[in-house]
Amino acid sequence: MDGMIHYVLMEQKPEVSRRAPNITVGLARAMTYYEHGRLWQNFFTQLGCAVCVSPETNKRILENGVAQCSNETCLPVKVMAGHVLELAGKCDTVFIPRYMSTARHELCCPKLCGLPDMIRLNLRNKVDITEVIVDADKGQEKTRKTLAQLAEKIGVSTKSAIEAYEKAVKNKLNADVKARLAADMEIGTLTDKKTVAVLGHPYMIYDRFLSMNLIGKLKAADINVVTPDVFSHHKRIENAYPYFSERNFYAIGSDNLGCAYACAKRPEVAGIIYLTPFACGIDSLVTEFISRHLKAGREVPLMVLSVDEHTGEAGFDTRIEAFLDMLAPV
Amino acid sequence: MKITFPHMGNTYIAVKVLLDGLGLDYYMPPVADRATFERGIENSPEFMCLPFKTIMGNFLDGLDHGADTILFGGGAGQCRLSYYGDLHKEILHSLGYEFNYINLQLNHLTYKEIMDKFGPFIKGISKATVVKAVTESAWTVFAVDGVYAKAAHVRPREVKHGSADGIMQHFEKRVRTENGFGNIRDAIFEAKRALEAIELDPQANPLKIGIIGEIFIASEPFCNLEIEKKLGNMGADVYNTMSVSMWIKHHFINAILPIHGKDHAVEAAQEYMHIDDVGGHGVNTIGNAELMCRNGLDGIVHIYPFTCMPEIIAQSAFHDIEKKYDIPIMTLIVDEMTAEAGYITRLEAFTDMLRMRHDRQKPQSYNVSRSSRAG
Amino acid sequence: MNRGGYYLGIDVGSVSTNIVLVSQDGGIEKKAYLRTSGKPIDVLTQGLVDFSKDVDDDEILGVGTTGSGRQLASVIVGADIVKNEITAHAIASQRVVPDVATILEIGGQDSKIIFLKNGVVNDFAMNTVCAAGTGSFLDRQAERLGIPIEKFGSLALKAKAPTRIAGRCAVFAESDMIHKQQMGHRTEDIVAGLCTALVRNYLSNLARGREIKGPVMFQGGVAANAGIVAAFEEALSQKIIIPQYYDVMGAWGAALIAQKAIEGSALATRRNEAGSAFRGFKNACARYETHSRECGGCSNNCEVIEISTDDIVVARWGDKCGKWSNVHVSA
Repeated sequence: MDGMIHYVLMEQKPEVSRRAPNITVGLARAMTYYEHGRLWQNFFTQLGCAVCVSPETNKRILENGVAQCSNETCLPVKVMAGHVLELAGKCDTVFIPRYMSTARHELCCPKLCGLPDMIRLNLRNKVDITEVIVDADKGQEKTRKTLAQLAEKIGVSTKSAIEAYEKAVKNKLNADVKARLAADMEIGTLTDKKTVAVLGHPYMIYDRFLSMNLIGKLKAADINVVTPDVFSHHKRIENAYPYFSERNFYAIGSDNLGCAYACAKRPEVAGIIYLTPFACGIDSLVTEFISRHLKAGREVPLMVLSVDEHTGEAGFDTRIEAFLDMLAPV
Repeated sequence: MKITFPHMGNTYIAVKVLLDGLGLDYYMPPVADRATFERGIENSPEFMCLPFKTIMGNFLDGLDHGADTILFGGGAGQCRLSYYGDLHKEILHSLGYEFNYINLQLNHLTYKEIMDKFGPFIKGISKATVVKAVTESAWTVFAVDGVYAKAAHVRPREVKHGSADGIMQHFEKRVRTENGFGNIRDAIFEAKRALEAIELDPQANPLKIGIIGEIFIASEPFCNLEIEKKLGNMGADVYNTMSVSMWIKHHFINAILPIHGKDHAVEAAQEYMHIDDVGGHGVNTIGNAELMCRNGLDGIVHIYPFTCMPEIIAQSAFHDIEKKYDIPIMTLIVDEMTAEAGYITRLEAFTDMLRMRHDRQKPQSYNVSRSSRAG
Repeated sequence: MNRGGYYLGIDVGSVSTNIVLVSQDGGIEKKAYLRTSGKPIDVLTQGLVDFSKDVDDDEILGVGTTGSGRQLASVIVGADIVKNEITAHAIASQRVVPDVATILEIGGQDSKIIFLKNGVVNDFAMNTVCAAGTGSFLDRQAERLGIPIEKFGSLALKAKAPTRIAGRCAVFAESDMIHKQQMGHRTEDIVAGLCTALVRNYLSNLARGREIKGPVMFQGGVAANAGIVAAFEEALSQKIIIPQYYDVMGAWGAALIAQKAIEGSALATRRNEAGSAFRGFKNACARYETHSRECGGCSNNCEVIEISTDDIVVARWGDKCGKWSNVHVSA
């Protein structure tokens, strides 16, 4: 109701929305940035805000993040905290979307549901955080309410915030990758060449530091690489055994299940590497389904690579090399 | 048709009353059984949470003892519990088991859902019998929780150490073997009377310790290494928010009755979380910690299974809560490798610390207790 | 030795078994730091034989035990008080530095951090992950590098550029260390790198998000390692106090707690003349046999441990239900 009243009041003063808010919004290059970074960037640009994106993950960002969070926190959230700290002082507020679900029947990881709180609490309120709730499974009510709060905070009308959201974000959450991702993310293309599919959370596989440049290393070994984003959202869902046909599951889970089984049907895909942060709850479930189901069909070799802040690169590289050797016996 | 069901704390007593009342054939896996537990571990993915593995062990044992129908309660939310069923089925099928899997959707439980899922079971049973069995089962849930609450009250106050434990041991042995509502009701009354007869020390000044966290672990003594009993015997009044009756009330009674009261814990958590649900009981855990601190407890133990996502989120708020109230919160993470010795040391050190903090406020009463029992 | 009675403190840990004799003013008169070597009973009784040369039974006013083997020790010796390590360490540290605010302790298998405020333990943490922040990690790596553990610290101080050793747990750290060796890193740099890795693992596991206030004390067997001390001082940017009796602080604390308990209360169950539950050196140093078996009485199948001397069972534990441990056993 508050949101509605606000909406009406603001509508009567359309001049407010035309004023450039003169606010810089920080976007952390972590977590959902690797799925929808460009969408939110467009959203804020459309509202007249300047956008500041944190640099690629580096050792300092990782160590700062690790120092802030409880030991049990997963690696990506620790890294997220590091990125948000990196933005402190460079922007007026850091935007962290709260993803409950990004499509009907597709739920998000609990950590994404609680991300703005987790970061705020772990950073002890050192950085101002602004959020928008995205809950495509349940509807738009909470999104509108948080958009109204955001509009008030940055000094634009609720109407323009809602319009910008609808134009820049709402229908593009599962759109073609070109619209969502930054240009330098390597999703690859399916060719006749020997291919390895790299699976996992986008913020693991596309972050060159966290992934220890897994994709680059595979390419250097003359391997064609594809990621789940090479398949359309529809195609992934269609293949996401056992979570197809309108059943609730984690969006990230369906993406990876769908990609794995779609890959299993393509003979040029010689192997699958699933990159997972140590002790990830969702991956524990997803990798089990993948490995069981792959065994039942064309046996595509699967390697689950687990990394955390303690992982040594030497051991990581050994595993990749051994896996590639296995795919191409001498 | 032969039903089997998994264990969670003392729910089995009420489930027995229900199934006995309906006259259904069932097999109950042994309570707190190491061998079935280990089979569950062996047949589960390494990083799945402990409740999954424990339940897996129950199912394997049930199917080996001739059960052909599994009764389970899952959900459809952000916690992995919602997807347990699919993976359980997948693993059990690959081991060659054939069975019927009944998965109650606990977070959207409606009268219709219950009737749809239970319809085939109660076919041919009179409506009066069904109503009676359900009522008796519901009574049992609350009565059993009452017995455990009474034992928790007695432990830190009893004059003769171990009196409550002895009675509870006898009670548990009895309810595991007895059948039918009448007999189980007698066992409950017997335990209640015996607990009430224990001589209490009027001078006892127990610490007040709250337990919060993931409900399966918090209510399952086998997984939490009998935390309530241990803390009680270390001289603490234990307030476990994650009791089975709370859970039943939350899922079943609220779903069927059209009354939806405010969830006080979720409300209290809003100071730290700007959302009412992050899956599982994550938000409730924060709210319960806040409420317990407002009520002036001496300390709080937060317990959850390794890799539990909602509880890791909840942990983020504890620094602020501890600071606000100056009340310590200790997080214990359990998995199948948890070693009892280290666990006891932590609980003992925690109660020692709380005692010292407690006594600092009243400097005259400092007294080193002569026998600090370790288990 | 001066007459007037003593308190005995015993800390049975997984790596070392420590015994101290404390005079009535609380000072240490005699101490022993012994390797447990998987035989806690033998090591403890041998240690006690040595102590019996200096004191008589009736001079022992009280006994306190601590450490992971505190129950075992209490049965053998006859303890007045059985305390966990956290409390014991805190009490001993406060005797040395009354306003100590933070205690770092690295033991063989466990490591701890204790925070004190207004003279009482205010918060503490113990390692949750594994042995990567404990003493056995260093022991093992020293052995692999062929360096005596005593020389480890001084070697680390000679490093010019400590090697970064990665790894959440000891096994992974070890494989990374071997890799660095093969890449030609100098031994002293690797040794310094191991010290930094241990301190990093310790702090990230135990001290996360907590403010480490001074005075800071560092104790446990590892405190003798100058490399670790230097790594701590660098990481915390402050001076670290190493108490004189850094390696037996747990045992000392246990003795001090026993003293407080005996002096502070009129004891009802006096067994020896001095008022302690102490069984006497001769009884304590008898031959003990331990047996373990699965109970089989219920589905728990608890592993029951039995300690006996001359075929008389003196203690049992390990059962959840108390069926065995509650049975009165003659001492």
